[in-house]
Amino acid sequence: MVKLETATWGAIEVAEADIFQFPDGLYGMEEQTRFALVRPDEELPFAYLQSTTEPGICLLIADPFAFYRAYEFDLSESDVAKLDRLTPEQTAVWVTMTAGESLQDATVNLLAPLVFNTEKRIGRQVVLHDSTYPVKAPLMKEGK
Amino acid sequence: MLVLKRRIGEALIIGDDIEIVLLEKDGDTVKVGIEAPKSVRVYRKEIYEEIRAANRSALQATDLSRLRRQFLAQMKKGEN
Repeated sequence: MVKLETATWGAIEVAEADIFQFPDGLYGMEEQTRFALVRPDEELPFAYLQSTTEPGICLLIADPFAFYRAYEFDLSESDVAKLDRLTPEQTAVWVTMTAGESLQDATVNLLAPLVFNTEKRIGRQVVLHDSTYPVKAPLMKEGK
Repeated sequence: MLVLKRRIGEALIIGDDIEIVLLEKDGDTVKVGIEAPKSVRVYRKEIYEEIRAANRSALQATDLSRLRRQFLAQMKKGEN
C-alpha cells in the first residue's frame, strides 16, 4: 500500500496496482504525471483520479460504458505504443466528468477518454480526432 | 512566424509532402484543403482548449455520497 495526501479524504492508502504513470500528464495539467485511481464505491460507475504529488488535484471520472453502452473508438498506433503496446485485456477506460446540480446536468468528455494499461500501470488521455464524440456529452441521455 | 498573403486557389507547400490549398472564402471564414501523409496529424486548435477546460471542471470537489444518492434514485426510476 502507498500513503497519499489528498485534499478530499486527508491521508489515504491506495494499492500499488492503482497507481498509474501518465508520462504526458493530462491536458492543462501536463506536469502531473502520476495518479492514483481511487474508487471508494465499486458499485458506482464513478471514481477519482487523484494526483500522487498534489493533494488538491483530483478529477471526478466516470465509466463511459455505464452510460453509453455503444461507446467505441480506435486507438492510433502511436497511442498504443505510448501505452506500452496495450492489449485489449490490459485496457481500462474512464472519462472525466463535470458534475452538476443533478445527474441530468452532468457531462462527460467522450472525445478525450483516459485509457489505462492496467498491467503496465500507464495512463494516457487520448484525443479521438476521427470521432464525433463531444467534449461535453450529457451523462444521462435524454429521457433517462 | 512567417506571414504571407495568398489568393483563393493558390497553395503552400510545407516541407516535402504537405500541401495547403486555399479553396474558398466566405465572409470571415476560409475553407482550406490539406494534403499530408497519414502520419502527420492535423487538428483544430480549439479542441485542445475545450479538453483543458473539461479537465479543469472535473477538478471541482464532488461529494460521492450525493452522486450515489442521485445515481441510485435514477436507477430506480429506470426500473419503473
